[in-house]
Amino acid sequence: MNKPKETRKQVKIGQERLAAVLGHKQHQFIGKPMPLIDGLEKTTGRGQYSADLRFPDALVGRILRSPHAHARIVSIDVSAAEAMPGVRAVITGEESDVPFGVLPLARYEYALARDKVRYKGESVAAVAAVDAWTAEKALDAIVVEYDPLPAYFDPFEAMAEGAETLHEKRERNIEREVDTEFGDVEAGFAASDVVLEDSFHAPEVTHAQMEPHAAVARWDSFYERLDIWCSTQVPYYVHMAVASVMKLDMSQIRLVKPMVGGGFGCKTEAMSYELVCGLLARKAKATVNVVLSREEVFLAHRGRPATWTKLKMGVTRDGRIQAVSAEVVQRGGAYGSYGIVTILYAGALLNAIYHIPNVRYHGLRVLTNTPANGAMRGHGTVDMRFAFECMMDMVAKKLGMDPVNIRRVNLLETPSMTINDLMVNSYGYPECIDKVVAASKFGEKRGKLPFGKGIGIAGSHYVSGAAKPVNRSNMPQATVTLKLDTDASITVFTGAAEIGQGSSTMVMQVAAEVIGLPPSRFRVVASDSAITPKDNGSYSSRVTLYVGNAAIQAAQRMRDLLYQAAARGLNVFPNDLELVGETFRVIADPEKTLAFNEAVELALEYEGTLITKGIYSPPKIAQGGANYRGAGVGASPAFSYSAQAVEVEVDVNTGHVAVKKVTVAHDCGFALNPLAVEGQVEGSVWMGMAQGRQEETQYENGLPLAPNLLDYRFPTIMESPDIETIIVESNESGGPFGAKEAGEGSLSSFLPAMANAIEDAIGVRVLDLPLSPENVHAAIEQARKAKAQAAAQAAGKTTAQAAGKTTAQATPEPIPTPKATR
Amino acid sequence: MTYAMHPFTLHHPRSVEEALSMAADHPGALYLAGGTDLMVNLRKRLHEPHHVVSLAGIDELRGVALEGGQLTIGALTTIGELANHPLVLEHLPVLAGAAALVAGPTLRGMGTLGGNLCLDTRCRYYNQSHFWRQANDFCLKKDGDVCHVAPGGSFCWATYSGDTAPALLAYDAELDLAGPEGENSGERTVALNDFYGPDGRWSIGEEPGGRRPGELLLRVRMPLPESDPESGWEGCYEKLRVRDSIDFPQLGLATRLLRRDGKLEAIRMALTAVNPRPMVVAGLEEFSGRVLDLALVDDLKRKANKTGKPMRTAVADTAYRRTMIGALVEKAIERLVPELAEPLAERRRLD
Repeated sequence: MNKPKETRKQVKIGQERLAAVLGHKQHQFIGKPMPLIDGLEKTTGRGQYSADLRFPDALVGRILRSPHAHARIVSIDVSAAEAMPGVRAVITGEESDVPFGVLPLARYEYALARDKVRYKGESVAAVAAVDAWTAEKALDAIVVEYDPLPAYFDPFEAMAEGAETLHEKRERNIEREVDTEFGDVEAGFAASDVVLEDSFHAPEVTHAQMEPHAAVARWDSFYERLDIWCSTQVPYYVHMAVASVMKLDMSQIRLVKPMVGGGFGCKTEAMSYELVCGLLARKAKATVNVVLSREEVFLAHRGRPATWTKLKMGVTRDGRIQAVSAEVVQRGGAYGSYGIVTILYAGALLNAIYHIPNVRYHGLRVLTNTPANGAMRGHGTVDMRFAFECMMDMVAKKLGMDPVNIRRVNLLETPSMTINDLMVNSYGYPECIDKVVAASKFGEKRGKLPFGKGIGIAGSHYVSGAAKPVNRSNMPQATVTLKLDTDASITVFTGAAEIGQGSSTMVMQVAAEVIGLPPSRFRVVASDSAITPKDNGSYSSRVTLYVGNAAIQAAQRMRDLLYQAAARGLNVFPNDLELVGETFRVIADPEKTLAFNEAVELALEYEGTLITKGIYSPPKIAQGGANYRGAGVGASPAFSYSAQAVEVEVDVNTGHVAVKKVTVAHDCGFALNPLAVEGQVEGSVWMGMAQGRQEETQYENGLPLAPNLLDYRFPTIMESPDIETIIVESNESGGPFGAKEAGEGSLSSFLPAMANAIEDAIGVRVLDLPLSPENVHAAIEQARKAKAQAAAQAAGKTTAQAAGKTTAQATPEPIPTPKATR
Repeated sequence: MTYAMHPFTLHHPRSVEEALSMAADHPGALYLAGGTDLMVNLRKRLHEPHHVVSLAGIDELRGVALEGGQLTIGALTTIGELANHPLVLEHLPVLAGAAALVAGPTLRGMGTLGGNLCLDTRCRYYNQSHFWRQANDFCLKKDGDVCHVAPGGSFCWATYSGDTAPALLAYDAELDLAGPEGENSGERTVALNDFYGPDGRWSIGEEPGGRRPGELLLRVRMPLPESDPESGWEGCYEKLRVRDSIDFPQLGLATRLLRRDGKLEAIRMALTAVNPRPMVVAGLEEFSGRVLDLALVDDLKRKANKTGKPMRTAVADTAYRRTMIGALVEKAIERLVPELAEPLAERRRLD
């Protein structure tokens, strides 16, 4: 109402401005939901995946697979195939004698089998032809003579005395034996009031990712160079493997990762088909497509191994864990893959969620004549977490304790180093439990629902990146570069493999936030070895923390250059400036402005195109102790936490279990993109449900019984429960803006929470996964029998002993603990 | 990428007559209706035809009609249409219910009633790729001479797994078939129950089976008095599967019953996905007049269990499927005789 009388203008510093000056600016482009930057391409079908790439005159590559589970190759005659019209190249194991394998310790697989085949479906020969039918008929024409050997589909048979070994130097087919003890486990059990032990079984499961493996390779005979496009999570590792197997220099190869339709771990290493694709292209001097069928995806596999777990837990009367002892046997399949890491993870991640003063772990990774197992979402932890969180409920029941309380009394004090040298910094697990208990009304439901309905709870955690890369190297583990050019746009170059999890959106958001420019100024170029910096790839949930931190550093450097240029233009210091929208403005004198475009012109003057770089590697303290073998596995700069309440309805008539509601809280440190975090958490819950409720790869004479998406029954939307996702933000000080893992940690708590809910619903404890109609029904029948027996006994004798606990099935055969030499 | 199919010539007849003459010209040709099963099987090299006759352009084989006291359904009527058609919903609710549970919405939009009735039998050793079957020494239904389900036997246990056949068996359906020129020429009518052979080797275009080589299924007919909603008959279709969509039945049970004053007047049951052919549960006539109680339910379960013979043909556990025959009988009775639902649930309690 009063007109200002002053000619001098009053500068008002509002909260927001003040915050900007002091560096506490409100987040602009992070911390709020943002659709993924490639979402439109994917949902409209415009996106190009490896199998969509069309090259004129491209040949079709097909792979001949072994019909034997274990056999010596006596001879291979390809002459008839080579003579067929339309066939351009036929190759066998002769084509390359360089073995590959993601872990330097386990590099003994060949692109095409040499001397021996070790599982039904192993690649033996390959054909490039003008069309698919010609290629397949040419495969039919290849004559292979085999000399069969004894084959093992069961790890216990494979490691029996006198068993034929699959590989040299793998005595009794043991790929790795892990034997560690921290603290004094026997003393811990002695100090316990209750000690329980039981055996759990989890069958093999597979990733069932949407996009099958696919590659296109183009050989240029004149320059002797190979271009390869492939569906992978780890372009850098594949690049190295292709070079090594083809005996090329890495500089002769350009590797591009197009859009990827899901990986979940099955694309975390070079696969034989990628190598075959390159070898075929060179032999045919042409471009070759190799796209695997769904069945071949099951044979390529690298999924979660069948796992036998024997778990013993000792607690005092108040529920505090005194000691834990675990014995694990994993059926690894015919080759190493990530197996050594898997068996180490299962032991290492017993720790870092609860305080366990004494812990022993014995793990055996056994080689069998089945497709190789490898990394799969929740790598190494899922089956162990199932056993552990079931056991917590079993112990709590014995103590008459609430399942929530037993988890609360065993919480970690943080920050701390665990007994096996894992650094735990941010720890939102207590808050996850509190929020899930409140939101699910756990206390009002547990034990109080009508027969057939139940609720269960469980917790889990996961690494935010494996601290050590698979190949030991002092190179930074993540590198991001930014380019600013005369078009006044910024391109972010990252080797991080966008596989649908949102990594490209994440780096763009982080760069936009640091510089203060809207996303419309940015483009992201990812995973092209000729253009983008090297990155170790998308596995172990490493990208947000590692690549996010690298992006921050690159963006800060770019921001400095831009602010310096703008400051020159406005004749002030960079600190006096703020970037509002796309205008630089002097904070103390808002009339003095410089458009972003003009600032760019000034920045490029004399210098030309601006390029900045950021790098990241985890701090040494987070890389695991060096004082025991295998210490590098499990170590991570940060851990995510999750708690989950699952509500079920059990049909005791059929054993069907309907999952009605899931309430999940996930501590991701800080949600850079809450929309993406929710998507990842829901995806984890869903994948946990898939394994928990129904999935299973059974083998029939070494062949997967259901190598298709009709019979391998991963859930449909019809089985999908209502999922309530709660984001917990514990602010990880080592993470970008406080962020850490979001994509895997909530998987493994689903399975035990579901088993605990079934127990609540019908009083039956199921120890064997999946919690399928068959297994649940069998457990119900067992319980019925036990009940009838107890009743008969009570009627017959006066001193009937309690029927004991109701377990699903007879305890699996005891796990032998051989003292292997390796 | 999926595996390649054997190259074939695709024919596009516009009438039944034309289709039959094409089949006569090319013995061994396959009829293609919705293709939801056939295309998958072609890629597994379960059939390697040189000629395929697409039925897509034969409009006379589509639609549901009520005429002359009979309900007729053209063989090319899609499963989705069946599930929602007012005449089917009114007169054949068990069929509508079964159709609604076939596969998923997209497949129901393609798959046809004729295709579902002529569905090739399924087996864990048969519905596999050429590579898989070769690595498992093939089997007597295709390319081999042993049965992995019952080694040593010469009988094929591959299972009929359509959902519509048991429902239609409960309605006493009949089929009209037309044969191509030659020994099977002309039209004939068979009871649905006589259409299927006992051995799982019966297959589209192959003997032994109810359908003769080159024959084309034209339509399905139901006598109306039986399916009159006024008649007092009630029915339902129960399907056992892991997922509530997409899956073939692990077991399916169609039930129709007539009751009055707490007593059973008549009951019909038919099973699918347990035997090489859909089966009418035998011996149910003796229950007419019985009081509807738990003892009767147990007797019905016994009869159903006698008829259904699950073998190791499915991925699901065989013993479980055997037990589930009785479980589905309980489910059906719970639905159709609500007053028995509570006593049945009470009997199943564990606590």
